[in-house]
Parts: sequence; structure tokens; C-alpha cells
Amino acid sequence: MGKVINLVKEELISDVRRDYILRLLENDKRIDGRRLDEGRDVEIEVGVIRKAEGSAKVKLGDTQVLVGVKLEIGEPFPDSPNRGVLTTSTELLPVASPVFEPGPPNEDAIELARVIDRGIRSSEAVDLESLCIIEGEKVWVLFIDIHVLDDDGNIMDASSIASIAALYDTKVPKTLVENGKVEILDEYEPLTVRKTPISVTIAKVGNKLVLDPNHEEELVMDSRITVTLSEENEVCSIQKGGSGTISERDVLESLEIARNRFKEVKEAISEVISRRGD
Amino acid sequence: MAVGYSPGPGTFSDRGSVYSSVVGLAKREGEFARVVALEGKYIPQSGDLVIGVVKDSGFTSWLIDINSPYLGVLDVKDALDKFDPVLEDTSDYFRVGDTLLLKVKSVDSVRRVSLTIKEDGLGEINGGKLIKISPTKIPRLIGKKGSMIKMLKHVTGCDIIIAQNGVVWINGEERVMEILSNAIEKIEKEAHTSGLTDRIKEMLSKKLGGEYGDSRQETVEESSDRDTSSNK
Amino acid sequence: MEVGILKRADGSAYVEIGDNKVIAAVYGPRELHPRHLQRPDRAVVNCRYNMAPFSVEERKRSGPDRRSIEISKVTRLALEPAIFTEYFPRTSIDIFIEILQADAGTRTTGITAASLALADAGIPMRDLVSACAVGKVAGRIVLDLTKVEDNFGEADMPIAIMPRDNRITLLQMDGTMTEEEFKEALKLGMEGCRKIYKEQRRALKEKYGQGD
Repeated sequence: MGKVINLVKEELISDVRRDYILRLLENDKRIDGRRLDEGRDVEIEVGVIRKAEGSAKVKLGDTQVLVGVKLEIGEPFPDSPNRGVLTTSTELLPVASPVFEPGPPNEDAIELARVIDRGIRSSEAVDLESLCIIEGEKVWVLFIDIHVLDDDGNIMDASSIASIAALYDTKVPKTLVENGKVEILDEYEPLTVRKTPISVTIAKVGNKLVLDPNHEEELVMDSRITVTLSEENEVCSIQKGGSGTISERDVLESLEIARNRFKEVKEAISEVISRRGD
Repeated sequence: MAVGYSPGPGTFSDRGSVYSSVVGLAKREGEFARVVALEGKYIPQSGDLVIGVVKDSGFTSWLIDINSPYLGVLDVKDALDKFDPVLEDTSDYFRVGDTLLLKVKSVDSVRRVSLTIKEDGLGEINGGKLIKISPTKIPRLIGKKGSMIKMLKHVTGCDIIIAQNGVVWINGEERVMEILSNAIEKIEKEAHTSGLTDRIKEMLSKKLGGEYGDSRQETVEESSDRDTSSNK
Repeated sequence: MEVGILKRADGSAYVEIGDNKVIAAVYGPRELHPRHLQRPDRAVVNCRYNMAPFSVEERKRSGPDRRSIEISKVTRLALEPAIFTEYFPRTSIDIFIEILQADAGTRTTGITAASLALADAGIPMRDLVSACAVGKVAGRIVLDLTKVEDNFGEADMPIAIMPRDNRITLLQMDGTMTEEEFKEALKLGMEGCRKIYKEQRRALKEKYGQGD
């Protein structure tokens, strides 16, 4: 029907493999040996791209995401003249998966970017007012570009962790305003980041809730829920995904699982940031 | 919808209860609960009589649009006694746009439909008029034990073929066909209301007037008696 | 709510909730082209959510933007669990949602309308999908935000369920809430959906109810 936008390629998994994964889960076991509520190890590296004002590379198990933050001078939105502008985009690179294709972002890429964006925006993690240069005229536009390098599942959480880590890494050039003209100086100050929004994704496979699903688990999952927390008791974004359903109890249990994972990941981020500060 | 029944057409069961999966009229038939859908596409079943239009012709088959999400395939071996693919062309027999009366020979698990015209009365249709109605209304147009269609044929004197896929072919005098089409439209629209056969008969008699009225009066009344009794 | 308002579409519905005016149309199951997009075991569900340029205060450029692409996707995922797609292998079911006038909660109104249009098209479903939005305004959890409330609200949470067994098919949240507030919102939202469900059933009965 021509008008269909962004059809996404689908991957097949053999019935034998599917049954095996489901059978293991019946006994609360996972194909990679994790507990149901156990996330994969998180490795964070910041400042990996020198040309970007901020950057971070995150490995979540075998999933790899690189985020670069760039700053450009632009105009503010008319309804928020004293605030900088935040934009988030995602590219699902063909290097990351045989089903990713080059071209403009498809609906999966757009959804991912928008969920990350909502987490950062609604928690007010970035002090956008600090990005104002001349009220109503010139502000910093902050571009968060998410590059998915290797998709072994849950690129959502890897992207979220990489984005916030890259923001912590971001340095804003100082400016000098003279007669309405802006001069960019060769001095920097760190971007003011006030909160640490971290998304935690839980897949529903059969009747089990599985934290941080890997690629094969994603292929057999019915639905997923992504909970973004900015504090232990502050939910700042939620997104249900997948073509199945979830129950109210699943949602509440997920919240519990998310909170524990949040603490873990937040610690890992803090550690990297403090190390960099030395 | 019901507990303690088995799910019939238009329903499904979930944890011991039967629910309707479509908007329609609920019925209980023996141990089965079923729902007669009020809307929906024609999904071919083996044995159905269908009216289709040739959409494309291949080397040894024709693709037939049977007013369904699924195209039908009419293979030459189900259409002709002899066919030489080297010397002959399928379009020598049927061309794109031709209308055929066919039977569904088989439907496989991914709903590939093969058709046949190798039975009496099947084959190309010429003349007359085609009317499309919702396939879910076909049973109503036929009526209980064929009461509605019998009455229509009787009162109008037209030839009528009702195909399972929601296509109806009628043939007769131009003016009468017009009135009959209106009647069929009315049946489609009011399919789920009661006393329909009588109302349609009345409408037809009025519109057809004297010309058909007198000579057929007797037989019409006779058939209408049967209709009402079978409706009760 | 009104069902069967369009002639050409296989199923259609018009829904007005607050200042939202939404039309939904469904085509299908119908033949799917190109063929490699067909699934041998089920129908493919497509969904397009579209806002009319005149539906908002400031004219919206026509065509899909990032927001409507995401909404199209979550809407599709909200409706798909209800559809018996396995009944119609190799076909597509195409859902079009047109927002004619937008207040807050267009996506949930769209889902409510599309679910009626699916029923109107005679497509077998496990249940209707009913949707509504809950929000937090000035620290209070409320149902059905208006545009003004949405803009100044602290959180917005669209939700869709299959009310028969309360399974959630869409859940999004944007803004900040404590866990307690979130639990309250979830409860209130599901209640709201059940109210919408009653209206949907009434609308279906209205179209088909005369006679028997």
C-alpha cells in the first residue's frame, strides 16, 4: 500500500531454539546463565571521541552503543526564549545487525531516540537555561547522537546509559557577547547535569519477567517495558513495547526490578565520572 | 458470552468461557455457541460457489479475483479437457475481465485457493448484472431453506445466482433487474431484522405492479405462506 | 462515538473525546504487496497516525514527523494483541487514524476509534481496546488532561487495555512521578479505560442494535 512507512525487517528464530529458551525460563534459567533479574555487566568509557564536546561508549554485555554530544549555536524556540535546545537522534547502523539497513531512521530508531529524549527532558537532567547565550536570539543547541554499533539486545538501556554518561562528559565552550555578536572562546566549562535518568528494560517472555534481555530473548519475548528512573523514587518515563500485553502486576513488579538495577547502573556511571574528574 | 459451551464460528474460548470475536448475533446450537458476523471479508472454503473476475492469465492458469483478500487460481486442468501450452495461450479461452462462476476446489494452510469450473453449470457468465453485497449477508439473501431466494425468483422471474463470496448475478428484464437490485440492497441493509421476507415481497409486488401482479398472484401467495412458516 | 461512518473503508469510526475529533478507518484483511512482506502464518498489521494541518493552534506541516511515526508504532502495538491475525495469513490489515482536531490525548482517542473501526470491519478480535490518558497536574493525579493541563502538567500517561481481562497493550509515561503516584495513576487510568469500553460497546450496539 505504498503509504506504509518504515517497514522493519523481521528476524526468524527456529522453533527448537525458541522452545529451549522458554523451557529454561520455566525453571527461572536463562540462556546466558543469568538470573531473571540480573542485568549484564556495564562498561562505560567517556571522552572517546575527541571531536565531540562529549562522548561515551557503553558495552552492555555484547551490545555496544556510542553516543556523541555536539553543540552548535542556534535559535531558541519562541515559547522558551531563555533555554537551550535539546535534540536526540538514533542511527541503527548496518554494522550492528544484519536486519539494520542504511537510510533514514525507521520507526524503531525514532522510538528509541524519543524514549531517551523523554527521560532526559522530563527529569530535567540538563540545565537548559545554562545553555542560553542571548535570550530570544542565541542559544546552544545540544545534539545527542546515538550510534548503535552492535545489537545483542536491549539497545534501549545501552543507549540511555551512554547518553547520560556522554552528557556528564560534555564541556560547553565559554562565549563572549559583544554588540549582539557571539564569540566562542577556547575555554570550557562542564555542562550542568542535575540528574541521572537511566532506563531499565524488562522483557516479558511467557509469564516471566526478564531484566535486560539479550538479542535471542528479544526474539522470543511477547512484550517489554522500559522504565526510566531519575531517582530511586522518581519515574520519569515509561514505554511499553512489543506486540503482546502486560498486566498491572507485571508493571508494578517491573518497577521494583528497575529500581534495583537503577542503583547498580548509577553507581557505575558515578564511578566513571569521578575517575575522570581526578 | 457463554459458559459451558464449545466455541463455534465467530467465537473463541478463554479460560473456560466462550467470547464473541466479531460483532454479530449470538446463537446457541447444541453444545456450540456461535456468532453470526455482521461484517467481514469473504474467506474461501472448499466447496464454496464463487463468482470471480479474471485478473491475469499465466502459462497454464488464470488468477481470479474472488472478492477476497486471497486470489484464486484456476488451473487449465480444472477448466479445460485438453490444453497444449505450446500451441495455445490461456487467453484464447478466458481474458482479463471475464466473469466466471467457479467452485472452490481446495484451500491450503496458508490460504492458497484453487478453483474449478469442471462441473455442471460452472463457467463463463455473460449478460445480466453483478451485485456485490457483504459476504456475511449471503445466508440471509438465501433465507431459511432457500425461502428468500425462492421468493425473489418467483416474484421477479429473474435468473439469480448467489455466490458465497458476496457476489450476486441476476438476469432478466432491465426494469425488473433494477427493482430486484434495490430489493437485494434492502435485504443487505436490513439483514438482521425480522419479518424481512414478507416486507421484501410486499415491496416487490408494489413496485412491479400490474404487469407481474395478476398472472403470478396465486403462486406468490403460496410461496409466501411457506416463507413465513419457515421463519417461525 | 459513532461506528461505520465511511462508505469505502471496510470499517470506520468517529470518536470525540473532549476537544479531540478523530476518524479511524480500517481496510482489510486484504492482499499484501509486495509479496515478500507477506507472513505465511498471519496478517501484517499496519498503522498510520496522522494529524491534519489544521488540527492544532499553529498549522502543522503535513506528512509524518518523528512524533507521529512513534505514535503510529505504539498504536499498532496497542491494537495488534487484540486481533486474531493468525486467521488471515498473507494479508494485511491497514489502520488509518486521522486527527481532525487535537486536544490532549490524541493517541488514546485514536486507539479507541481504531478499535471500533476494526470491529466494524468484522475483523475477529479478542476484545476491544480502550484507551485514555492520566496525568499529574499540580501534584494531583487526574484523568483526561486538556491541552492546557497537559502543557503545564508534570506528567502524562497514556494507557490502553483490553478491558475483559485488564491486559495492558499500551503504556507510556512522560514527566515525573513518585512510585506511589504512578501506582495511583495506573489504577485511575485502567478505570478510565473501562469507562471508555462501555461507550465503545454502546456505539457498536447503536449501529447494529436495531432489530433484534
